[in-house]
Amino acid sequence: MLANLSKKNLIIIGVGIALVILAFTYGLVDTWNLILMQPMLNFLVLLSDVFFDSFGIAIIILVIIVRLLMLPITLRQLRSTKAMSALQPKMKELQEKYGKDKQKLQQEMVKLYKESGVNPLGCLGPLILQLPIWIALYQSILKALAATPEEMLGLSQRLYSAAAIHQAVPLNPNFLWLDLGVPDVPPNGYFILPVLVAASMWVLQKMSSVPTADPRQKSMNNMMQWLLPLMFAFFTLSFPSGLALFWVVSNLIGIATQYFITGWGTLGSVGSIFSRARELAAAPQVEEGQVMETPEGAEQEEKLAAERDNQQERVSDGKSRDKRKDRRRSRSARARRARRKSR
Amino acid sequence: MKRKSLILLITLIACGTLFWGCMPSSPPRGWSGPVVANVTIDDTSSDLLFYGAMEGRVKALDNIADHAYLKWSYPDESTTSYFYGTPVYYDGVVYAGGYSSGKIYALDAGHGFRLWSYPEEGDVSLGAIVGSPVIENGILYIGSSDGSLYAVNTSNRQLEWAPFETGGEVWTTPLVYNGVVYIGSFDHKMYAVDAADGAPAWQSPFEAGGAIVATATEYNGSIYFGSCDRKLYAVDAATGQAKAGFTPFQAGNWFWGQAIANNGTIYAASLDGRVYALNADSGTEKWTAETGSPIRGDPVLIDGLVIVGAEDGKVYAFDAASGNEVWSTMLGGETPTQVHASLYAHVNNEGETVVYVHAANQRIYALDAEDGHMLWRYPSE
Repeated sequence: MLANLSKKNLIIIGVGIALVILAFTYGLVDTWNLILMQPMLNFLVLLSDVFFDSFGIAIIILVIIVRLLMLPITLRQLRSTKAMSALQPKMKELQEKYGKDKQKLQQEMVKLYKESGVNPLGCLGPLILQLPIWIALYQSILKALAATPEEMLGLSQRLYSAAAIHQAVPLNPNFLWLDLGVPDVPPNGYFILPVLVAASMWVLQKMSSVPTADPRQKSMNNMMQWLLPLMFAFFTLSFPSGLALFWVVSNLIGIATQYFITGWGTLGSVGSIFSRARELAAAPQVEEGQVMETPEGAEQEEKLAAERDNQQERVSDGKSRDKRKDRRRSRSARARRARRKSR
Repeated sequence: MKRKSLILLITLIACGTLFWGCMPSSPPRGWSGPVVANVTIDDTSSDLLFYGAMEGRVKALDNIADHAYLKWSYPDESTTSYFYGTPVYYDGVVYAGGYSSGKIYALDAGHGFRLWSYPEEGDVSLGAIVGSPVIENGILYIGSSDGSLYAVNTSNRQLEWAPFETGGEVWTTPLVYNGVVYIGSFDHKMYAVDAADGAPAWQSPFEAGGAIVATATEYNGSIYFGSCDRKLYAVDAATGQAKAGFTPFQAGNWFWGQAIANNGTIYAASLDGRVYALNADSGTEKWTAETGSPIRGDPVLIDGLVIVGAEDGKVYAFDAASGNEVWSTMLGGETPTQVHASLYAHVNNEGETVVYVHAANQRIYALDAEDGHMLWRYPSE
């Protein structure tokens, strides 16, 4: 039976068996510490020693390294998300077509996924795989900070025997305006990190959310988009700043990675709303139905009208496409007439 | 629907693990060691045992020769601070340094009421205090996590001199010897400060390879102390230079407790679970005894035995000459506990040598130093 398995699957099974054996031998928590938390903790302490005795720089560098190591998994997740969002117009068509017949809709959706080679849960696998690494990373940050005597005692039992590691503790908690061992709230701080955590997480959430035609999914996305940043900002009010720094850096790297793979995503619509608002504010005011007299004005009118149409197209699902095309044609004709007249 | 449930489940798992991961693993509780002093109350003198209890109070036990009972507790009902350092008794007053309050408390030894605290103002703090106070000629010396050494005159409750600043937190108990205060810091340095005016007593502090949390011990004109770089150092007390002929001894983990010196031998316990007996002149190993569990507190040397408490909840007694285990006693009974606090040995009125242990289960144990059997425990239930 084993001979039929691919090399990749054999490796996965082997690692799984090794983990189960370790968990039974040392216990679940000790295995977790042995495999994930302790290596990260020791590396973090070592980085702090190497980079000018600065724990803040050590956190930033470790987050970058971990992000780089997990880049293949992240890319897989992002591509899967991108493929999902590319399917959304077709999904919308299917919903319009088979909206009332749920069973048929389900069959057609599965068929579409198969034909496109997309796994709808494909983005969740890499996400789950990354989760333990992130948890171990922030655990190691908390352990390394070791503010109380009990925590220092605990830290002494988790360090490897290299002299440089022992010489580096206790770590210097001061970084920029922060004491990394306490939250960035008065009297020790200025609420800067909670704001940065919330803002960076909101941007990342906005960029990475998959546009969807499903109203329930849409409302859930909207809820998550506000809930997660607010939740993490709330955590930041009571957790050490070292952890908040880790979240900010991780979010910023996430934003950069997301940008290179999927662009601004749904954040682009926020940007376009702002730019449209700017354009509308800059354009000469015209009354309803009045045509601009200059060629530039006519072009501008044509552009804005097209954009308004696009926007309407996005928000209203009930209006027919033909009517919109007619409206667009008549506006274009009016604009062309205005241009001819001015010449 | 299935997908929605899955996303919700993953979010819940993520939040749960986040909370689990972010929970502080070891909240501060304190590990104050006990100390015994003969106190006269209403013309009657008796031995009282003082310690900082883990619920945030200073307590005094009476009748310690037999079955101890609570004499007083400060404060009575509420809590005041966590205590890591062992309280010190001086001239009818018990002094204790609070970790969370950052204050020194002066309590009447007989009745437990507060005489004064320093700083007196409610919201002013010296910074978290981990080490014990030391009193010499009426001046109380204490190190603080704000990185300074303070000298407080116990008569007028004023600072004797401006706080002596180091480059890191000070968790060690000051050692006062020959008019000089020796104090180690997180900045890897051992400082010598003139006890009279707070001026540096050495040209430059001695620099170890790691942070210093272990209190120094004086022996034959040298001071001995361990460090977080896992080495035990010997330094000339007068000059601050490394002791000639002494090679720093390397252990398997940090030294946290104070070493003991006797008869040409330095006894030091380490967080690697071993007790080391070293030649005081050369630093070479005479013997090593293994407990298998980290030893944080200060050991005691009495009746030819080196006695230590370990994290596995046992108290071990090793022969000072050979390092052989003489006895070991497990504390806590069916529910094992841990021992982080320093031990205290005392000869009681009946001539028995008793070792007092403050265990992590918040009990005080009195053990017979001869064979380790338990004489009493408080509370007994």
